[in-house]
Amino acid sequence: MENAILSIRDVKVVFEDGFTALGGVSIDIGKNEFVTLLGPSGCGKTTLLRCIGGFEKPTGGEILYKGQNIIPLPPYKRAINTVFQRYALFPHLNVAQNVAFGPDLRGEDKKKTAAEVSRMLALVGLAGFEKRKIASLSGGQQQRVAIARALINKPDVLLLDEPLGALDLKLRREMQLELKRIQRESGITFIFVTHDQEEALTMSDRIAVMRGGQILQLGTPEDIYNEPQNAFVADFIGESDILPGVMLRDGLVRFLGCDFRCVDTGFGENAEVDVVLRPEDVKLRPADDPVSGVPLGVVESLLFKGVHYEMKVRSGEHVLLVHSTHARSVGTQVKLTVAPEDIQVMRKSEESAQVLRRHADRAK
Amino acid sequence: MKKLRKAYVFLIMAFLYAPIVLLILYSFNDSKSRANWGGFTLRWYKELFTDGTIMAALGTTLSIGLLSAAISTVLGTFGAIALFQTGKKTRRALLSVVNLPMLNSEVVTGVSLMLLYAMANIQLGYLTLLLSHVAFCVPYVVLSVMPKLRQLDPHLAEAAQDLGATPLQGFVRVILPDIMPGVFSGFVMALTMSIDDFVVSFFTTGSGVSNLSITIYTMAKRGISPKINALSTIIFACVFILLIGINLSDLKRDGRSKEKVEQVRIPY
Amino acid sequence: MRKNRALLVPFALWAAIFIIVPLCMIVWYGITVEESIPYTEITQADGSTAFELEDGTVVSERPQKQTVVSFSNFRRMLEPTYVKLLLRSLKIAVITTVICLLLGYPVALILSGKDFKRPALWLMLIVLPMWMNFLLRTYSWMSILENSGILNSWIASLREAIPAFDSWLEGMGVGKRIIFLYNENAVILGMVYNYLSFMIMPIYTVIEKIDRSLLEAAADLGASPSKSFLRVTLPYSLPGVMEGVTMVFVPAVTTFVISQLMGGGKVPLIGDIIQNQFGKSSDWHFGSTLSLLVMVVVLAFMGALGRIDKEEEPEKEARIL
Repeated sequence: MENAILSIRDVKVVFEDGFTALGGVSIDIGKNEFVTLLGPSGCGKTTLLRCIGGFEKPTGGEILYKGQNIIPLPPYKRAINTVFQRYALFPHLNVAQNVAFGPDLRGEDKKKTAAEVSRMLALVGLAGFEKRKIASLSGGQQQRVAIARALINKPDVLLLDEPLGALDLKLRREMQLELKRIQRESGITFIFVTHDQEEALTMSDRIAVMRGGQILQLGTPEDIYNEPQNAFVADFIGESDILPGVMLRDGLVRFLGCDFRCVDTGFGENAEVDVVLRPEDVKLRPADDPVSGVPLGVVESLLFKGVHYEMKVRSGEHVLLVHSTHARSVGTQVKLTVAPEDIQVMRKSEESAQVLRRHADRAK
Repeated sequence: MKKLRKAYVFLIMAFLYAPIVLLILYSFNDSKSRANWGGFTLRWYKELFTDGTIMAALGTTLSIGLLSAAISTVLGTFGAIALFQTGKKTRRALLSVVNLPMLNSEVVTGVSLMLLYAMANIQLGYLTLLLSHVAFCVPYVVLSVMPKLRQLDPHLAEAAQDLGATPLQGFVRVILPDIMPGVFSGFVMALTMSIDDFVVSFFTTGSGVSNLSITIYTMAKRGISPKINALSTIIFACVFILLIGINLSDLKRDGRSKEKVEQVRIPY
Repeated sequence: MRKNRALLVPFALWAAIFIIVPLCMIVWYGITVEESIPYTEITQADGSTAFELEDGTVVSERPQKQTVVSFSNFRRMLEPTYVKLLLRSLKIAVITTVICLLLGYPVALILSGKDFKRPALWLMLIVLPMWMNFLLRTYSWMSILENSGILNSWIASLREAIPAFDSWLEGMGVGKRIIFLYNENAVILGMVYNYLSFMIMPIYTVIEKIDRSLLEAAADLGASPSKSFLRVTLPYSLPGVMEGVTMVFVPAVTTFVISQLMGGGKVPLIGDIIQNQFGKSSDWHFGSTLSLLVMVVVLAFMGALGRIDKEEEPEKEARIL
């Protein structure tokens, strides 16, 4: 990437006990970008963040910050700041003293710092909280103090390690928007770690889906959601139906015993593939609908979810998750259709077997 | 029933305090024997302060107490940190070693240290006394600092460094203030252990260096002097004022310091 | 996480020198004795003095005593004198522990209840005497109980004031001066007085932490106060009792000061003998053997209570420096 502020090149981390936390990760991050590292726990996302922050020393690779390798630099010499998972606020200092910690260390003018602290607190929505004790703040407020404490140092890059993990759902949603606003207003690059795919989709410019110390897919939220490149990503992001299929030729894929037109090409002929369908893309039609050549199914369960109904539809040995605004009662015979552009075909990957097995388990 | 329960507690308190109260009373008795009350006097206090042996012993006790408490606080705090940030196996092993002096009886600790100095050919005296007091105080400091480290947010030190503090600055500005209650209570514990110690001191001192405990022991074996009553009174008054003072200031600082009073202020 | 061993090494070194090595010294002294080598002093032809050993070799230096590994001190330890001593120490320690438990448990229980508004303050007052030098505490009892002590002088003046009391005492065969000190009972009293707080503290700490809702639940399920004590409070307080028992028993079984002051040397305990070996008798080897014995007794006792190696483990480790 041109004008990347941070260039991570083939970074490896092998722990003392031999565990490989990062198996050679590369990613370029641009200025003022909001990049999310997304993955289940143990996927290496936090380790990668700690490498960038300087708390973990990679056993291989380079981390270029404005073109300079920063791996040898200790954390306190990097122009990068971190918002820690449980905030790591200093409990013996009050809000203003916490925020002023960085400027004070640099020996900046007290008056100027005080003004800057107030400005930062206003930015995070905590104007007037200067004298408050940390212990008297709610989780969300502590969160904001942690952000202000990092932002006051005017870092080029801000690292956020699951900063919303400890908040309840409503507060999380609020803070997601808030963080996005702060990022836009401050013009700082955010690198955000989370295991919550919804959070990642809401906030990010780009998402890196990680697993087993590797980046499986890097792309915009739309890319990741609509065009997952393998079964794991498809399974991890949003709800999905993943089925084994055969790519008969360009534009024609066979699954659930029927042939479907699709838009994917380049898999060759008769290639084994995984097919991912989003529950909202699977349409149910009455059994007497004239459409032909489509799989038949039976509605096995029906749940009201507020905006839509969630149904489980059995077709042969598979059970599909279907979202629809139109309820069909349990036991109803239906025909299943999917528009060609809603079918995502993926090459088989390491995780295919496991993901397919898990999806097949739903049928039991 | 409630009255009965309260009465029982008061009875035990009476048992604990009666000897001390009597001691204090008779320290003002103008008669060498305790058989009768000879009127009020401060004579024993005067004699106490002119008694060179007791004053020297008091000086030794205080200097050894403060020095050993200071040294063992530094050693124990850094030791606790070292233990805390090491692997589980090493920590376990080392922690059980450090706990040994607390499990062992004082006699064994005293004797073993005496043998150590004999082997190292160090003459028993002030230095060995100091070293020994440090030796048995450090575990108590580790014990009181460790829980504070456990309560620390594990990322606190990292957060300080992230904001531009060197590891040392981070320690001084962030970690130390946070574990200070533990460090302080470790110091107080070490100080009291040292001042109160007799057994270990008995085995590890020599060449005329003697602290209060040893002096009282020799005097009590010879017979009883009202001077010791006066000394007890002064010591008790100091302890009483100190403890009440500390705890009251604690209570004032935060209303719910009930736990603090128990945890921090009572070394046992 | 990378580990920082810069602090660990000096600390481990310190622990080795001041904890491990001294204990090894005790073991070494305990399993060795000083043995003198038999020799005869002879005058050689040139007039100089020499020394002939038993095997006939002649050396010019006077043979020194030798330290040899021997278990003879362990045999000596099994002599009736020492076995009796150990048994008496154990007996006194057990009696002391039981009395402390019986006296202390109710105090802890009452303090953790609702009778006192500021239990922590009361607890502090109970522990306060412990902050005074324990020799002074013991000494205060001596001055009360000794033959010309406070108690005797009070009794004497009572006798003067109330002739009936005097004649009643005389009728009981009680002399003018009652001997309170210098027997086992006095030693036990001294120990109970010194160690009682050690029993109250841990028990209180544990009872205080018992979840009130447990007791309420017990009451709700129909348990009477005495039943909920037996079913809830008592079992939950056992760890505190264990701790208290240890904290009383261990010093009680090894002390040598209280027995000397309150017992006046008439009730020697194992601790006194150890002290003697390093003082007057100056047999460090036998003293070490006895110290080993004490260590074993204490460890066995704690092992029996299951108190060894129950240290709370920090779940996390973090790098601080």
